[in-house]
Amino acid sequence: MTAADATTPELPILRARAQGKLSGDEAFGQLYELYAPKVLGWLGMRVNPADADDLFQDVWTVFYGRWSRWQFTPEMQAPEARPVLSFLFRTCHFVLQGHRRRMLRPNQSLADIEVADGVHGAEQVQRKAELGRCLERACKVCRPEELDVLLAKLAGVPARETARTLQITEAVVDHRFRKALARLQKDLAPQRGREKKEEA
Amino acid sequence: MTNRTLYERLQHEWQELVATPLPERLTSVEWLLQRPRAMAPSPAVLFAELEDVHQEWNQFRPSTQINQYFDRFITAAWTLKDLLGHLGSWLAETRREAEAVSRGEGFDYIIPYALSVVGPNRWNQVEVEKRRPLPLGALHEEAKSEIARLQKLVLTTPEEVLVRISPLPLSPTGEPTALWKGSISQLVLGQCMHQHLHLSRIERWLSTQSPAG
Repeated sequence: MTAADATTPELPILRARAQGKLSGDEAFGQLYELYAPKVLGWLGMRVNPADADDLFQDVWTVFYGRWSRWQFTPEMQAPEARPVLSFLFRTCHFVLQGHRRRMLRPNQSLADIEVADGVHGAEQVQRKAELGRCLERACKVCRPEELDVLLAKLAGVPARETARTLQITEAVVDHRFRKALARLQKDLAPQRGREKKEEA
Repeated sequence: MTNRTLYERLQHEWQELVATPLPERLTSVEWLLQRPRAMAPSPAVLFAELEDVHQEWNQFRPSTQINQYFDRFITAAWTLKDLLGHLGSWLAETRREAEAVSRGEGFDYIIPYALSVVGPNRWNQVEVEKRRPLPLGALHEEAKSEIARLQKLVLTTPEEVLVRISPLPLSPTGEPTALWKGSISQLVLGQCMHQHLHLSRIERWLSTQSPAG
């Protein structure tokens, strides 16, 4: 399934809000219910659990402020439009940037922080749900910029919005996505070989 | 495993991850209004708001397409260039005020802010005229640099200083003794809102313009 043929569950909420059938707070509550797990998933893959909690609240604080003056433009009515999901993805990205820069100690590079976050994120995913090995491995082996693209794609953020957020072209989004898969493919290959031997 | 199978596997795992119930403390949105940080945004929130403004400004990077609209009137009194100059002037002023407050300094000037006439018109006009001779590239650079300085400031200033209420140069009545009081956080968030308001109007206005003939 691609992002394009996925349904956009936020659209009925946005329409109901624009038509006055839902109050601002009711619509916010429904959007929260819809997207809070994704936001926590994005952050949980990138930072340690305590920071993920704080940043999760930060993301929703930004969205809460913006929601009160949200503009319902005609392009948001397109069947594939996901303006709220895109906004949340963008905000997660910015909030993470701010968090990382703030944590940066003298003589430390952003790359060190990224690696540390990736490891924490993978541990958190493992602890929380004992979930798939592929996702956990992706956290460990993909470069941060590739993980950004991969997580956006998994959550159904349109490629155009991912490109806009990361200030790259859609072609680069696609390139990073392929690179992430290739890296993961390479990482999993020897292990699969070992598993087969063990099975035999 | 082919790339397609691998991606399907990732999707499956992601779906399972986001189907995991949220921790109890996060299941209701009530925390958002109750938590102290809702009233005092964190440095990461301030940084994110500024970054959003930065990306909006990036849409107006100098290009042949934008340049052709640069001298067109967007309001009865101001061209697109003037409006971008206006936004740059407020970013610079916000940064100056935030820096002074963070150092615990006061102000030796006021900006008369007549709410009944929408904003400090005289101050606005002076600042716009200062920037009128500048090309779009210079206005863009000014905005970019002021946003970067504000981002650095919100990330390096202690949180208690970010929320400390201090008198600011804005004077709603024009009286030097009746200054507006606010915090760096409020100043930054208010400015981000101001920037979004104008930048989204510019975007809508540009979509209605036809190229120069």
